[in-house]
Amino acid sequence: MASSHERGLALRVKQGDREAFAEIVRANQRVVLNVAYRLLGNVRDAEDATQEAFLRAWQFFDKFDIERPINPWLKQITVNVCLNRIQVDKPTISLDEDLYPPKDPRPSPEAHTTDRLRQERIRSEILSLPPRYRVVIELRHFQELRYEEIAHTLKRPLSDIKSDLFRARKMLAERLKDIA
Amino acid sequence: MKHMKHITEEQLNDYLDNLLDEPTRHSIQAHLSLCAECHSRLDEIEGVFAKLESLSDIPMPRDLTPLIMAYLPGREPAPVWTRGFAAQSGIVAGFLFWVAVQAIPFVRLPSLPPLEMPIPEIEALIARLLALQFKFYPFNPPDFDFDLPVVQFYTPAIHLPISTSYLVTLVMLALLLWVIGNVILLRNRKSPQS
Repeated sequence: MASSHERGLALRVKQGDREAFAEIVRANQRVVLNVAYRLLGNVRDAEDATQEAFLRAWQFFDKFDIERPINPWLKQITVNVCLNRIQVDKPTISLDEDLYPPKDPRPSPEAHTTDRLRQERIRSEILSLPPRYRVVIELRHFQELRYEEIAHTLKRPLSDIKSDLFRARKMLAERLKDIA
Repeated sequence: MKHMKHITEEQLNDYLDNLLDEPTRHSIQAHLSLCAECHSRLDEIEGVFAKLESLSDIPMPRDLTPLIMAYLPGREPAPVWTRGFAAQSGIVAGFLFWVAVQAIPFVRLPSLPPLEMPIPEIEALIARLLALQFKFYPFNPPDFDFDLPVVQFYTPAIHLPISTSYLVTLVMLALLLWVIGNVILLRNRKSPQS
């Protein structure tokens, strides 16, 4: 269920209000960018995918049910945009190491570095998964969709989704064994 | 634990995803408390859950709003047909219909002259209908009559004079509106996410 503010914004966007859409972009761009970053692995591609996802959202906004929250809808559009890109492009595992360091100061530089390296390792292992596994991990663990919702989003049978998810988890467990 | 039936991969994942019913969940828990092998498999996958959860979001490198807005194409405003609006319209239409029905006994129509045209026999109507199939027959006599008779009658509820030709026109109009309405409703049903 969408909040009344969000509902009002969505209603304005449906009537072609660009300023209302800009507000939606501002409020959701970080979430959308992070979905794209987890699936594509570098900020430049993630930015492009974010832009494409919002353009698609604008284009198809008249089909959006304003009673529902916008955020999950945007995330699903982003997943589809990224899936298209992954299927068209070659798989790339290029995490931007120093391009965008976290803003929050950490207790010590060593701890910061260790944590950053750990996160990069986890991200790179997710990115090294086959695209179909990567996507189910994103939808289940980061977007917290149910199996049925994942099957619906990806237009694939439920049994495939389950087996892909189990295998993806198993692969990650193997590859991340050495990380605490 | 050699002879114990181990938990399957699917059960383990369903257990972690909270998809099991209560009795199955209890039996899995009981097995896990006894079987070190299955417990270690559980720990392994739980570790993946924790590692995925520990991933923090990257900060926005820059505000993408101006860039996105600059490339935004023009769009026609969509007709706003929300659930609330639909419900309100339905209630208003229903109320107006109810008022109209209630008003029928109070409406006094001017007394109408009796209709003079006799209602034709049903056999005659059928014969005329059958004759229609010869409409495009090339060897028809020149005075062959294809017209259907127009039957006039009063509507029983509100005593309005009406004829069959009006009725046919109304039915055809309703059919046309129904077709047009369906075309409008069913166009562009494709999901935007595909």
